Amino acid sequence: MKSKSFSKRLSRRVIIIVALIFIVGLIVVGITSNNLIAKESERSTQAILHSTISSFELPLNEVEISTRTVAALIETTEDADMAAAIIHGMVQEDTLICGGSVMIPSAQGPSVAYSYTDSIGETHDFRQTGGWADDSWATRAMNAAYKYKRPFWAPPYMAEGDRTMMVTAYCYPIFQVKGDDSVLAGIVTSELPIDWMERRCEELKPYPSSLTTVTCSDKIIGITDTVLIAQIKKAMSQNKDLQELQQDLKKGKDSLRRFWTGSKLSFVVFGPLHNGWMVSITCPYKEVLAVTSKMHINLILIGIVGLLMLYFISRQTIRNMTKPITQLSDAALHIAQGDFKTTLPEIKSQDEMKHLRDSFIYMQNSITDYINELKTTTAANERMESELNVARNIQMGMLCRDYPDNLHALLIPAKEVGGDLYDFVVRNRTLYFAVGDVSGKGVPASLMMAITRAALRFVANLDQPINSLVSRINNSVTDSNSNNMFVTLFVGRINLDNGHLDYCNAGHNPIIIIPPDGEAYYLKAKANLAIGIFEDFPYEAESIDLAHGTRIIAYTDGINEAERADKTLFGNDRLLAWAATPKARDLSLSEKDIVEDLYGTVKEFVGDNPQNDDITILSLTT
Amino acid sequence: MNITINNVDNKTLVTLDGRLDTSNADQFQQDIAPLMEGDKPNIDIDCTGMTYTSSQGLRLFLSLQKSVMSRGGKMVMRNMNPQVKEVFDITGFSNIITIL
Repeated sequence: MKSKSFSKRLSRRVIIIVALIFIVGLIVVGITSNNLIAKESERSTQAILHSTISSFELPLNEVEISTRTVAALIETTEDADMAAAIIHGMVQEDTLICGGSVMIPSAQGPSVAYSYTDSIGETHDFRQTGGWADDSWATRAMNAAYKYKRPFWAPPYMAEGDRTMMVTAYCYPIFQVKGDDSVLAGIVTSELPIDWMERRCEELKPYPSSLTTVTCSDKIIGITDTVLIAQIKKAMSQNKDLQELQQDLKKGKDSLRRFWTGSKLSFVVFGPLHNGWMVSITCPYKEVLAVTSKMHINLILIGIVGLLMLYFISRQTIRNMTKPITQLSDAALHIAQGDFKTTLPEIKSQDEMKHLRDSFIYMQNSITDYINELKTTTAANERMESELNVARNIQMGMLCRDYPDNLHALLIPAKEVGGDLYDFVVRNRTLYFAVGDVSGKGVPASLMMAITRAALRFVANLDQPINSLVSRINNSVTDSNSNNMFVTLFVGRINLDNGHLDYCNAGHNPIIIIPPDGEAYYLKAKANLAIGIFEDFPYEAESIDLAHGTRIIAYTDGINEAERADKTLFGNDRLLAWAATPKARDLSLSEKDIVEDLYGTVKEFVGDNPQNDDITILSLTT
Repeated sequence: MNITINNVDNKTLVTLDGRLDTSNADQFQQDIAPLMEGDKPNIDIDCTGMTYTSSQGLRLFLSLQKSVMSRGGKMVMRNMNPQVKEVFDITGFSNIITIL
């Protein structure tokens, strides 16, 4: 798997963090700007609403003033014809008013004088007394006047005659006081066309889908979508009727409501005309916020482009800055492969990279020096090893290998060379043998061993008591021993005809005697001092007669002090136990077999623990 | 091998503890170097804690003994465990070193 580059990872992280910050910023900016724009739009729409309301109020006021004036005139006359004439005049003269009437209650139903201007500007008059249907405008106007007892605006209705337009009418009731009661004396009405109001509503679109409406009790001017009308009404009313709402608005309560149409959120601002009608402007937020949406998209695009640029630039920058690391790691690889001369990249900056490079150079130099030193040391070691091997061959060559049938010996140094020794000479049925151990190990011990071995060889040919031989060896070794080393030595001389053994033990481990019929035992000996310590030490000899077929095992402390991993020594008891086995006394086995059996037993005891002392075993049979 | 050396009333008390083998013989030689100096030393070595000594160890005791003798002083070793004592006996060192 290819590992991702450091620059890629780092720049990716930077990008993720910057992107997160950008997204959060964008959300905050989005929400804030949307709120600002929405607020601003609501405020400006409210301003538009107010000016619209003012423009609607003006003609209404004018009509009201005209009507009141006409009503005052009519009130002064008792003549119906005169009243009709006044109405005719009003309709003809007032450009705003397209129709008017005076109604006087009578027993047969209202007596109505009605005049209107037709589509070509000609004024028509119409008079009728009684015979009005219950749902006729005249009956309804009379009923409303009785009910309200004050002037009012009628809801829009289709104009009479050949006119195909919606009109509304200002109804001005005239009351006369008769006793305690005020009695309806008549009603003066003036018709005002509302097409201009409809047109104004259609034109007034702060936003493409904005709707401007005028609500007059049950009718709505401006739109025909019944579902939307219901939504707007509901939003405006909030469970209040229009009159209550007008009261609220007069008290300065909020004239703005929000409502959902499907998934579309809109707001509606509304205000009352003085006649109780309600003007409203509805705007969907989607269109209000269209401008910010565009801005947001631009911001996102800029952000994405910016992030991509940041990614590539930062990646390149980081790559440039970390280039030395890559080069140094390549160099390290070369060094690891053994190319110590690899040139390291030049670093001009005085920063951590420079420090790293300096450390690298230091390491390179140290390793080079170390390797060179190691090479020298290894060469020296190799030379010493080969010399030691030569020394080992020389030392092994000193040991007698010319075994007679009844004797065998084994010597295994712990290192290349050792301090153990053995020797034997057979002359005229006399077997002279010795086993020794120089204190310490290795080269110093091996040199002492060579000296001792030479002395042994020299005295072996002398026909003297055995303790004299040992004394001679002692003097010879002590003479050339300035280092307080010493040699433990067992020297024996056995008459092979009668089994008489003369021996002198100079500080060596007691040898083992295995009689043909009896228990094996350690041969007790006087504690003579090891040789090489004091010149002229009085060594004492001893002797014993051994039966024919007695086996003698001589050894060095490499056997009884052979050590297991748990520091347990093989010990004298185990050694004697081995000597007590039938195998050890089995004369049918060769001395070589016996030596190897003892060695095998010790090896088995020691296990994997390395041999820590020279081992010598010598076995002979009388 | 731990060695402690205390000088009390013209007497040098030495306490040995542990095994004295090939691995620490060189260190031991350095440790006892102070004992190789001074006139007429009177050295008392307590061997209670010494569990084993190799032939190299023996050589160092021998050197010490010879050094003490040449300076006209005396040295005793005491409380040897039987295994260690046996080594001193076998090698004949018991003949030249005072073992109590």
